Formats: sequence, C-alpha cells, structure tokens
Amino acid sequence: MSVCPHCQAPVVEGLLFCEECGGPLVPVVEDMYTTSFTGQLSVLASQATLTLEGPGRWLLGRGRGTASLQGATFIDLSPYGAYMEGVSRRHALLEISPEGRAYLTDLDSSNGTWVDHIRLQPHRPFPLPATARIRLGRMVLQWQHLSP
Amino acid sequence: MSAKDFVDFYELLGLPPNASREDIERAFRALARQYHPDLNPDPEAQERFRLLVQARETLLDPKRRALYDQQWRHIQGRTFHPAPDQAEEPTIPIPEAPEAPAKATTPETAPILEQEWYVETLYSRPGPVENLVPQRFYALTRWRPPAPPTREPDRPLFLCLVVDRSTSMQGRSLQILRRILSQVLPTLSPQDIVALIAFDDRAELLVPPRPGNAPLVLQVLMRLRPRGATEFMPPLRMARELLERRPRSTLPWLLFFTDGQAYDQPVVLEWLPTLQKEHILIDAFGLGTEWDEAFLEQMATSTGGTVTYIHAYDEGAKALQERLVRLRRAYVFAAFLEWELPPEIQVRTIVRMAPDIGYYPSGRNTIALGPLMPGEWWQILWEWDIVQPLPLHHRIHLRSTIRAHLPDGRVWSHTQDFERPVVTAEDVRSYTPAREVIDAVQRLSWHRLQEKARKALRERRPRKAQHYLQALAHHLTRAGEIQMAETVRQELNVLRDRATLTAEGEKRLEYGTRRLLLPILRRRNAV
Repeated sequence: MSVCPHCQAPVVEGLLFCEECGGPLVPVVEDMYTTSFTGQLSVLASQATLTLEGPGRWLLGRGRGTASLQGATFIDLSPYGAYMEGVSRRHALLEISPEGRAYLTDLDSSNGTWVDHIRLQPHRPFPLPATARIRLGRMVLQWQHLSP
Repeated sequence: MSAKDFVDFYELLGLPPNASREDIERAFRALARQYHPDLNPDPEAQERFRLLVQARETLLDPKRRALYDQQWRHIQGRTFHPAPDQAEEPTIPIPEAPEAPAKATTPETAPILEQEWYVETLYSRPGPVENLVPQRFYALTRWRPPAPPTREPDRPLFLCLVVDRSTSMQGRSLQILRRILSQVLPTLSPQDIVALIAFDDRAELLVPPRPGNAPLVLQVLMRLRPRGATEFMPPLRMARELLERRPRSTLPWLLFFTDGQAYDQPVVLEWLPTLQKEHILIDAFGLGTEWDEAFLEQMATSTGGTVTYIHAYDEGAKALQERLVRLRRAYVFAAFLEWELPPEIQVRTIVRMAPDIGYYPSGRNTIALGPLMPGEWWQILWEWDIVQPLPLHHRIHLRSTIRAHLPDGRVWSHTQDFERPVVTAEDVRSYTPAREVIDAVQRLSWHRLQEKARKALRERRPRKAQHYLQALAHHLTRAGEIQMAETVRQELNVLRDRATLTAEGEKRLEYGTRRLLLPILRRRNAV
C-alpha cells in the first residue's frame, strides 16, 4: 500500500483521489472546468469557416428542406458544391459532447466519410482528434478543436 | 416534365445512378454498336439510338447531369417507393471510392441515426493489476437508446401530488410548499392533469385528477390546515390507485412532499417493488430538516426518481420547474439496468450522474434508471473493489442488460458485455484515465469528504470533521465551485464555534455536494 503525496495517509491501490484529504493521485487536467467547448469547421475549397460551440449536434448534408435529425442543427453544404462533390443529403453527424469531446458519425452516406484517410463505419461515432481532415464524399473539410 | 415523358437514362444505359463518366462512355459505345441505324434496320432501334445519344450528352455534361439527376430523383421518389436495394442515392461517383457500399442506403425519410444503442464505457485503468488486493477500479458508462423516430410533441403531464399535512408542517414548511406550488402550478397547460392527496395519519383525496385543474389544486392547498400524525402507506396506496387509472400516454409521476418521518417506513420499503413494477416514478421533496434522508433516498431511487432538499422556496421551485419541462419530453418512461458481476468484484458505489443524480444502495444487481429525454443519456459511475488476487491474462467480465420502456408499451433492450484484461503494475504506472473519469471520481470524492466530516462528528471528533471540511473547501475553490466552497466555509465556521453542525448545515453539505455530481451544463441550467 502506498501513501498519499499530500497528506501521507495510506491509500488503496487504484484510487484516483485520496480518501482522507481529497488530493489528486493522478494528474488533474487543469482546464477541466471550462464549460464551453468550441471547434471550427472549414470547407477547404472555399475558405468558408464555421465555429461550432458545444455541446451540440450538427447534421452535415445538403439540400433545402432536408429534415434534420432530432436535436441537431442542419449545416447545408450545397453552397460549396456539395452535390457535385458527392455529399449525401444526410451525410454525417458532428457531435460535441457535454464533456467537450467531438465525434463524427457517418450516416450511411453513399460516398462515405473519411477522417484523416480512415473510412468511418456507418453509424459508429468516431472520436475526432484536435485537428483532423474530414472528407465527405469528395468534399474536404478541416476540423480544428479550439477550446479548451 | 411529367413522369410519363421522362426517360430514365440510367436504366437505358443499364447503369447505377452514381456511374462514372467512363462507365457512361463505355455503356454508350456498347449499346450504340447494337442500335446504330447503319447496323440495325429496326425502326425502334433508331429511336433508341437517338435516346442513347441524348443520354450520353446529358450525363457527360456535369451541369446538365446535375439538373437531370434532380429530376430523376424527384420522379423516382414520386412514382415508386424504392426497394431497399434501389434506394441508393444518385450522387456523383468518386474515383477513390469505387468500393462505395453496394448495400442499401436507408431511405431518407426514415430515422437514420441511432437505430442502435449508443454505449460507451471509460475505465480508470486499462484493467485491474495482477495479484493486487485490495484494489479500487472505476468505470463510467453511458447508455443512449435509439432516438425517437420523429420529434414527438410534448406530452401532457399527470402529476400526483402527495402532500404531508401533519402538525409539524405548520409554519415555515407549509409556507415554502405553498410558494413553490403557486409558482409552478400556473405554468401547467390546460391539458395537464393534477391530483392532490393530503395526508396525516390517514390520506384524503382533496382534488381528483382532471385536466386543467391546477388552479383548483392551488386554492385547496391554500386552505390546508395541518393536523395529526404521519403515516406514509395510506397516501401512497391511494396515489397508486389514481396512477393506475391515468391515461396510458402519460408518465405515472408521484411527487411526494414531507417534512418528517413515519413509523411505517419499513412497510413502505417492502412495498416499493410493486410501484417499481408499475413503472411509477417517485420524486421526493424534503422540507425542513427532520425527514429521513436514507428513507426518501431509497424510496425515490428504487423508482428511478430523485430527492430534492428544499430549504428555500426559490431553489425548490426552480428544481421542480425544470423537472416539469424535462419530463414533458420524456420518450422513455422507465428503464432498468441489471448486471451480473464476477465473484472477484464487489460493487462499492453506484451513482447515476446523468440525466439526474441518483445514489443507489449497494448490494443489489438491478437499478431503476428513470425516464429519459431526447438528447440525454444515462450515465453511471461504478466504483468496484477487486477482492480476489487475479492472475495475469485473466479477464474480468461483466454483463449488463438495460431495458427501456416506451410510452406505447414497447421495450428497447440492450445487453452489453464489459471485459477487461488483468494487467501488470507496469501497464498502469504511466496511465492517465480519461478526463471524464477523473472529473466524475473527483466529484464523488467531494461528496465523500463531507460524508466523512459528518461521520467524524457523530463519533465526537470535531477536529477531524474540521480537517475534512477544510480539505473540501480547498478543492472546491480550486475547481471553481465557488458557491459551494462558500457554503462549506460557512459550515466550517459553525463547526469551529460550536464543535457541531446544525441539522440544516448537514443537509446543505449533503445535497450541495450531491448536486455537483451533475454534468456541468445541466447544473448550470438548473441553478
């Protein structure tokens, strides 16, 4: 059994916080308490940039009158040539979880979704790295996690 | 252009709608050889050839093809409902992805996402360490059932208010209750149904359930005269009968307000499985300081409900208001989680951290998770003790099944296997758990510190209690939980002056740290 570095009380193996003094026994992420999570999505070909503030869900697709998904905001990529680039009407779902993690889910699109050359399995949320190149069909987007 | 005049060029060329330019050119040449007027004298062939040329010209010009595809989809969509294998969307082919799935694209009118459960588990370590006892292990699991197919309209609510009117309610408790309900009830819609049951040592149905009767409930509440002792069984039985006869589309919701304890509490606890079976949701509201935390806790959590400590009316009104808004949107009315643990693991704590806080008594293997609203998930933090030394290469295995009951009586069920390998001490040395796990466990540790402080007080060790509260205030401040840190400091002053805490102080510590277990954003909206 080891001891707590803060109060020298004996601690059980596997504890994350000392039971006597509450001190951390693992590195604590200092920015853990930031409540706003933002990311930036840009369409490479047209330099259009969209800042997304989480938590939230965004449906990436094209076309007017496309019904969005429950609780998701629809992002219409038609102005950037989505149709010609093979983007489906409901192509992929971008999510920022309440904990600030970003996920991309392919919605069984016709031409597929790639994150940094990895093809996503349909309907399986894929955790996005801080910076990622997203490809919807042929359209290339850049994902950038801004804060925290 | 009508559907009749429209020529399906893809059909003509025998190509899928996402065919590439090369495909089109190749198909055109093959067919042109067959139908060229010079080679085929058939007059129909001549017409066919004309169409083939038209098809080629249209489809090889990106602009014209785009326009044509739009019409094509429009007509396809109107004239027949595509079979799953024909529902592929007409999109431009992409050279890099010739393997584009041949399988069906879901028709776009149907719900696409979340036909499956979303389940995610994060652990405090990659696995338990070999031959190490005792050992703590944490898992944070989230479940989200398939989303509702369409945005469902908000449902009318059925509120069964069960109100304590025993003598002790006289004065402040009753005053607070009246103010809370006079703030919340007027926000109900005319479709909402309210019933009012008041109880002392017997129960009385003061307002029977009817749509739009919230104003009447308020009037009756204002005239309520406290009297008599307290018994919990009679009003609960009566409430159950009312809830049994409610419209099936409404969530069976029992709101229990009390300021005290009753001798028949053990009977109630024994009877709770009946309510659980009927998916009745109990939310308990404790007024004043005399009520029994452990009892209300067990009553509420066994049905998936929550306990709210009300020491000021505005806080109580906010909590209730928020609950009303959320439950109106519930698309799962009740859910139960069941699991089998291997003998080498013991459950130490189970806390539901979302969508609402719930502390579950250990030593059981089924818990009620309560209703769920769109966009939310259930989140459980498990704290396990590894009680047997485990050999390397062994795997611990836990199977859990969740059953979600929908308003229409259907059940979504999901079974999940959690498996972890036993690892070496070296494997965990440099391992940092996911941020969510650290955050959740830290919040639990705050709650534990105040628990320890109160326990130390009961053991007449005020110095020790001070030590715990000081540590708690310190960590809360560092984490930016300034308001709660301030509350703790106030209690710390009381403790220094009088070497004890007030009953109210203890409840503020308990329920204040408990509220911090909620994910940050929900809490922000709630406060």
